[in-house]
Amino acid sequence: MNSENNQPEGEMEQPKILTLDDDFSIIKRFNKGEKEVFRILINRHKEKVRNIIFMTLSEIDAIDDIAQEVFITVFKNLKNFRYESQFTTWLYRITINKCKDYLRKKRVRKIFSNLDEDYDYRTEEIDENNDVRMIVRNAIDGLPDKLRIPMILRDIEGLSYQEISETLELDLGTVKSRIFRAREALRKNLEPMKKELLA
Amino acid sequence: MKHKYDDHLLLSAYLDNELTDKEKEYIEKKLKTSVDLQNKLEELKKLKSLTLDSKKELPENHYFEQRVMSALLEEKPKTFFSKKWIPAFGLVAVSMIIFLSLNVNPEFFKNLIDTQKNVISNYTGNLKPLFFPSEISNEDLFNFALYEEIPLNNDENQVLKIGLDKSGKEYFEVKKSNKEDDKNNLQNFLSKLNLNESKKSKVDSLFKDYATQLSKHILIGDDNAIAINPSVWNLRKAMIADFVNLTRQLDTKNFNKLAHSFNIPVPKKYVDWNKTLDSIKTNKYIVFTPDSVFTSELNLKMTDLAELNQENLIKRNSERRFHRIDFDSVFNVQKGRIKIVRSPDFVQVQVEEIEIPDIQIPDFNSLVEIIEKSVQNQPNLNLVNEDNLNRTRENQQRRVLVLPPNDINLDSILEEQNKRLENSLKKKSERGKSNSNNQIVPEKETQNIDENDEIRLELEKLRKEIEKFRKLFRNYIQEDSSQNNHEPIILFEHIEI
Repeated sequence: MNSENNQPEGEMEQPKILTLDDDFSIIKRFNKGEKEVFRILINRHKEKVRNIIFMTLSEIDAIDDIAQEVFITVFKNLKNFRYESQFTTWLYRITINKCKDYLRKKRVRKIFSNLDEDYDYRTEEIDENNDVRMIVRNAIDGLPDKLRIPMILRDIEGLSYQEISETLELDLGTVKSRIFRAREALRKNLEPMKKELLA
Repeated sequence: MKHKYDDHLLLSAYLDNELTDKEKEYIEKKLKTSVDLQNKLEELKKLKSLTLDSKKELPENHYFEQRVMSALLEEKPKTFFSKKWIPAFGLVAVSMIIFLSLNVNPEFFKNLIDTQKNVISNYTGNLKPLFFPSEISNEDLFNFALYEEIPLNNDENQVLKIGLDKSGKEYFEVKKSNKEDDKNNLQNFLSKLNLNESKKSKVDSLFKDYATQLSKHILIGDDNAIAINPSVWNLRKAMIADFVNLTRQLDTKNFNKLAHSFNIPVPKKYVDWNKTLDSIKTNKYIVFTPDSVFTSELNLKMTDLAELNQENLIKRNSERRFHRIDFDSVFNVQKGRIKIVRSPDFVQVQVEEIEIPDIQIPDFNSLVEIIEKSVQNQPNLNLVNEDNLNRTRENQQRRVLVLPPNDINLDSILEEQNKRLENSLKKKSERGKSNSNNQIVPEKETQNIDENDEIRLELEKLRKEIEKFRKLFRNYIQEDSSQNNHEPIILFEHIEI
């Protein structure tokens, strides 16, 4: 395919060409049968994936289960990876989709279960820890998913509009407007605390 | 209005540096003249920074990679049939069984409950300490207090680690020790302090108390069950706290000299943490068996256990091995939840929301540094990461147990313990002999051990002095024969008669 693929296999293992170990070259090695290199991908991206899940769900218990599902999905579909966009964009898209699945299931479950079972630890923290971070966090959590997720990806995870648009499969214009609407909605949610927070 | 909305939308993207050159030029020009836009930009900036600041720290999961790889390895291709229909058939079968059982035998559920009870008592009936107090040396205890590890088995270099991860989550781990041999930490540290024999024996008796405590906290059974008292994490902290308290009390000057640059907290009053811990200790153990996990109240009487002689101990050394817990499951135990996750190198058992007595023990973060400094001449030393000690109390409700998936060989662990016990019994009888020679009749066993230790130490000192004398005498003869000048020999300089 590419010139680096023509290199002898022995050389691929030399540390001196570790600079070539970007995501694409690791994926190429994986697709040539070196399944073991998947570990590198996990280690490189696990914390970002876990953090996106954490920020999206605000729930600590489900993180590792969902992150595991994400990487298993990646593992199974890596052979179909087209080297057209960044690996991370694809990875984050899978992550966000898994989070959405989880949120959807949770909503369905909530209808059938009583409140005790789905105890929301966020409220507990607010009572105990009435500080600014918690108030803002709670206000963000109160936003609808379609506004909250683009804003988190931008302001917390630092993705560009283009990356967000690819991750969420939305138009660039939609991303721009949702991020703005999310900020406006957040401002409204924080209105009662305006003096303290937005001064 | 629409116009204003558009401008604000542009501002938001301007803030993110996501405008085209043309848009940027437009909005910058407008910003110069419009106070409203300037205020809006400030507000958006503030909102953006508030959002970023609200980010919560998520502790890193070091086992994640192993967990995923293991899940991938174990995933078996499933046929359409099994995936779709087996659960349905299973459900039907279970409901049929329940239905029939209820019809045929109304005692079904009662029997089921009785069976469960029997299973529990089968496992808990023969639990004994993994370590007997005499099997744990002071050095082991001291290293446990510092590094959270206690050796199980020297041949295979296995240790039991009872630790906290960076986020403050508690966990257990049976693993190979990757630390270099760090014997003599305690000895090295104590040598920095000016302690006479009676003070040293106070330190000894502190460790003896803790050896007894520790032995009550970790139990094993013939059926490969392991029971752990959740207050074992507190025990380790209490041990450091008590050790610092005591050594400071015994030699304040030298201790402060050592501790000077390390900000060791000075508690206002002396608290015996061991006693505090004992008074609030729970009897509810978490019991891990080859096929289940549950919590159970166990009343352990050390007096009964002390009657176990060596023969009984050898019985423990049976053919059995600890089977790996080979299932991924979530167990609901009383007031808690236990989740088991497998991986190629260990089995992780997360214990959530188990009631664990909580006491505020001062965190002597800097003690490890002091020990490090005091023994820094020892080349093989490898100290724990300080991050482990600077943990928060946030996630106190989660406990994690980690076991290696390969069968843990309880035989070799038990053999090791038996060896240790034999050695300690041998030592004891030797001490007994020297004791009878000196015609001291102790009233209590503890006193007996303390005094025996004193005698042993005195004998050791005497032996060293004799050796020194021999050496000096030999030198003296040599020097004399070569007719050199020589220093006067000082003999028995340390012996108090």
